[in-house]
Amino acid sequence: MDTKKMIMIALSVAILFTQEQIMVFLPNISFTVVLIVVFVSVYSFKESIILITAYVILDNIYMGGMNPFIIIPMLIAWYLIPISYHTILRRTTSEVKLAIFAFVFGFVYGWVYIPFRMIQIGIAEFWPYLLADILFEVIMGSFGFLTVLWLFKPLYNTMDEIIKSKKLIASKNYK
Amino acid sequence: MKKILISFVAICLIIGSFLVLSYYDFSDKEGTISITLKDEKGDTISNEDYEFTNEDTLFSILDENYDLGCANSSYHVSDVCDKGLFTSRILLEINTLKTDWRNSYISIYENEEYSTQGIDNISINDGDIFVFEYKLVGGDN
Repeated sequence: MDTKKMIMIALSVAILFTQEQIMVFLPNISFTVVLIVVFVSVYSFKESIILITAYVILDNIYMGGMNPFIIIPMLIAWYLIPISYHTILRRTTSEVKLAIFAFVFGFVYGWVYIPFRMIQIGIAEFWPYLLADILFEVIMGSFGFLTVLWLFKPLYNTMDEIIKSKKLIASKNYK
Repeated sequence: MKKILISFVAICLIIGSFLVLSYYDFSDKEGTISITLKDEKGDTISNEDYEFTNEDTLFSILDENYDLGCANSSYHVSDVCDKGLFTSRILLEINTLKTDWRNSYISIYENEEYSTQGIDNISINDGDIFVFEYKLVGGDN
């Protein structure tokens, strides 16, 4: 991978991590969804996976001990963004389509954790987890929807301009 | 115009969810509750009854009668147990019942039912029995 691209990805991870820590006092309110959607849309699939993996590992090291019951569902959930972007979303740059995706993702993100919480806590019933988390999912989905709807285009244009001006277009010629 | 309207609906959903999370409370105005602490072996280390009024919460009763340790934003034990904005505190220590969140945690049973609510979201009703029990992460329950 190009050194400049690696630095770009490292800076993207730093931005993701810093904004999340700044917003940590508000549950499920952060710009992580819109930022990952923007990064995924300007980086290649492979670069997006590297970025998300680095971000999740950093976040888990800082927040507490690399708990597999948290890190695995977190990785799975965030990987769904590049996977969806490159498959069902067909690399769209329509902020409306991406905002709807962000809304649905808010719920899916919560659901991915449920089987792991069931194993961790040992309660075999599905519904208590779903009900306990539903309002947090509404918050995450709605905030993701809002931020993608209003911020995706300006952020995407800025990132795209930086990448083009620095000749960092995903040329796939990994070194 | 549509974009503004949809955004307004989304903002209402966020504010509504936060309000429900903050003010969801069906507690009785007064009564008596029982609080039991159980250690890692399942042995009872404390069992007391407490009277409450409409100004009390489960957390305030615990805070008045026990030494508490709460999780900070990094899930490390802290003596500071201030309630975060719209979030529930996480108890890691109650007197000698000490957990670290990564390997162990304090489970809350309300009338023998495992509570999926945080300590700040649990209603208290006359005659309720609360059991705070040490649990290993991924262990038998």
